[in-house]
Amino acid sequence: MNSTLSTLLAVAVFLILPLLGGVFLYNNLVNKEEQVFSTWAQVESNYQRRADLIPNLVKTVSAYLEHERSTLQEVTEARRGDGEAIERLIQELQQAHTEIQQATDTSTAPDLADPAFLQSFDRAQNRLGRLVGRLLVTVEDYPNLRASDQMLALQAQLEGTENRINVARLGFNQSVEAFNRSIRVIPGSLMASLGNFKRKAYFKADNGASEAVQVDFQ
Amino acid sequence: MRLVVLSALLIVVASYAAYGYIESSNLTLDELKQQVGLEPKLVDDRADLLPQADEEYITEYHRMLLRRFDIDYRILTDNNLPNINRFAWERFNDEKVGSESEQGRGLLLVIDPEQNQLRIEVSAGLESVYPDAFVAYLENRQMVPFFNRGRVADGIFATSELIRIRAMEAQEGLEFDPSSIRMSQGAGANATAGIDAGRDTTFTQGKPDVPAADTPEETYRRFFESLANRNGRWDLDIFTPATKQHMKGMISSAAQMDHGVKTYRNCMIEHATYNEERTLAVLAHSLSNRACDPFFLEKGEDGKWRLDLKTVGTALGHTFGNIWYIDYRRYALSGIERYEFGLRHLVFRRPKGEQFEHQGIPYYRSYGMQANYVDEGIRIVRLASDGFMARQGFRQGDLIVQWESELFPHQNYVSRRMSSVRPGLDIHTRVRRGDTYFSKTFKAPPHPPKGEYRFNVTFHSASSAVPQVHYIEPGGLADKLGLQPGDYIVGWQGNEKADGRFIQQTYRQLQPGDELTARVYRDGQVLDLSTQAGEKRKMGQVQ
Repeated sequence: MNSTLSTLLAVAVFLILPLLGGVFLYNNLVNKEEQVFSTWAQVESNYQRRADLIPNLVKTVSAYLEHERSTLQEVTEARRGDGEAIERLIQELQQAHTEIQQATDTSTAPDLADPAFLQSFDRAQNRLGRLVGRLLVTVEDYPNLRASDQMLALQAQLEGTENRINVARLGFNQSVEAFNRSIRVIPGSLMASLGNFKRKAYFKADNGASEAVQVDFQ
Repeated sequence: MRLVVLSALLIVVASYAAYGYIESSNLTLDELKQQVGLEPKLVDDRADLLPQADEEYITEYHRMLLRRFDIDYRILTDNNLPNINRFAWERFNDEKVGSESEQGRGLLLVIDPEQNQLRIEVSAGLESVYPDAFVAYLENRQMVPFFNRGRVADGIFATSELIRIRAMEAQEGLEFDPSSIRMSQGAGANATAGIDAGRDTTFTQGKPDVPAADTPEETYRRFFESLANRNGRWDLDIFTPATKQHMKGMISSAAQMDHGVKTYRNCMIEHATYNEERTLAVLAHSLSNRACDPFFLEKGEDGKWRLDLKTVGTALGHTFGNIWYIDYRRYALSGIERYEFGLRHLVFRRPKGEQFEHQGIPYYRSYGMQANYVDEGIRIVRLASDGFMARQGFRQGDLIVQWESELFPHQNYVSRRMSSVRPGLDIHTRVRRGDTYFSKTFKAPPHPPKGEYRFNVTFHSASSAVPQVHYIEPGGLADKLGLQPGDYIVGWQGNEKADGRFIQQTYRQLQPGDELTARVYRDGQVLDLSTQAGEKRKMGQVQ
């Protein structure tokens, strides 16, 4: 073949094709990162959904306790103790709820590359989740409250939200895995430093860093 | 130079291919199956909870759900699932539950009898129609009561019914979310299955303090009040003894009671009819809502009215849309015959295009009236002038209204008698010639030789020349016009020769505000009646 064709071919092979390849790689990394952000948004929205259910739960249980207190002629010691324990639990729950509301209000763009951020977020949400769980467990002792349709609906919504949170976390971890892998694989890693892509942290199970929630039952 | 370029090209292509391989996901077995085109099973009963017949029935029902509401509802039973939530979610997305449906609407019911757990997983597109709270309600208030009694298939089927009803409501209210997300995001709810745990009446127990009332309407009202209070007892005073026996073996789940109250809130009683002795009553609802069954009541010896739900349950069936019909297969043993007086304002037909075999769907009668020709006997069409009958004095055009002991005989009856009656026996007849009636008795002739006629007369069944009114619905248009049972219709909308077909045709063309005129013959007099037509009553759609 003649020299012009071979030079054209050389240009194509050594210049244009790698350029196109580079663009392709970069776009792929961008897509993966956006997927991570979008699954994070899912996680956050499901946590928010749970947080939104808390006031309703608190209202229902408090109203029932009021009703019990006003209609019961004789309140036994044990019963009164239980009622007070529940009220304390409710207070803690409300406190945790307000804390989380404040935390989510101030954060603008969460730094997902920082494992510490994820850990603290996870811890705060877990605390809320544990308090909710304790409240639901103590409600089991009150058959009238447990049997009401309202409580059933609330419990279903809370459990459903917990399930959605788990699913969203799974989805988030999967997208983080895909992103992290594409950063470190050979063609991708060359691009990663160019576009300032950082490795993201996973949602890990809370190992031993949990605060045990103390609820006193006399 | 050429070599360098070509080898560089090769490296580039190879790196693209390698990169592509790294990025691609592996095909799962299910995806392969999908590609091959294997149809997914709607009911996968690995724990062997359902007998084969029930499994097929439920599969049929779910296919109907798929056809009508585009909902892909699958069932899976298995033992010792490690984590039912995780399993249900993974299974949902692996099997692509919802793929059978065009819009990706899917439901997955997972039952684990060993772990005593059940879960319904809801696809993202259906979250707006089946929120978690509702799914928990379905499970705990409908399915689990059946499971506690060991009736797994019935529980599944009853819940499928409620799912269908909810889908219908959602369709009308345009609640379906046209989401493009085709998987599950973890929506759904769990419950403890409690199979064979024994009857749990926590949510359906009440006191046996619902007494029968003095009027049928009051008993009816008390019945729905007890349903609203979730009183599922079978031994309430408002039921007849036969009904109590019938309901003893039945399961009333809380959800069914709720649904009953909700349905009948939209039902209006149109007619309260009593039989002659006033011991039976029928409360018939307006057909605008075809889900409202008629209620049958019986007056006890203490003078109180009690619900005969056994007849309602046995005689009536329900089809898509919960519309009621008379199931003729159970007609005889249901005992509905004694309540027919209350359903005379309806005519029962099988609608066109539907595959109903034994079913009578109710419709209103045109004008609220039943009018028919009366069979008056047999009319002599031709007779040989020298034949036997002519010699007895019969003439052409005579109407024989009685033959021997049979009043208004049918032509088949008379011809059978004519060939078989013993010669010499007295035959008594009553004849109408023009407007006069007379009797004639004669002795039967001997059997003729071969090739000759015995009586030598040709006749056929004659009907009255004009339609006669048999029944008028109280409050209907014919009632407003002033027609009464027994009237002969000698003119309708100006037509002196009106027949049944003409009367039906004019009803179809009748508009509100039009004038309706009729001329009737009643008790020897001719009367002219007229009225103005109002709005026609709406009948609910038959799907």
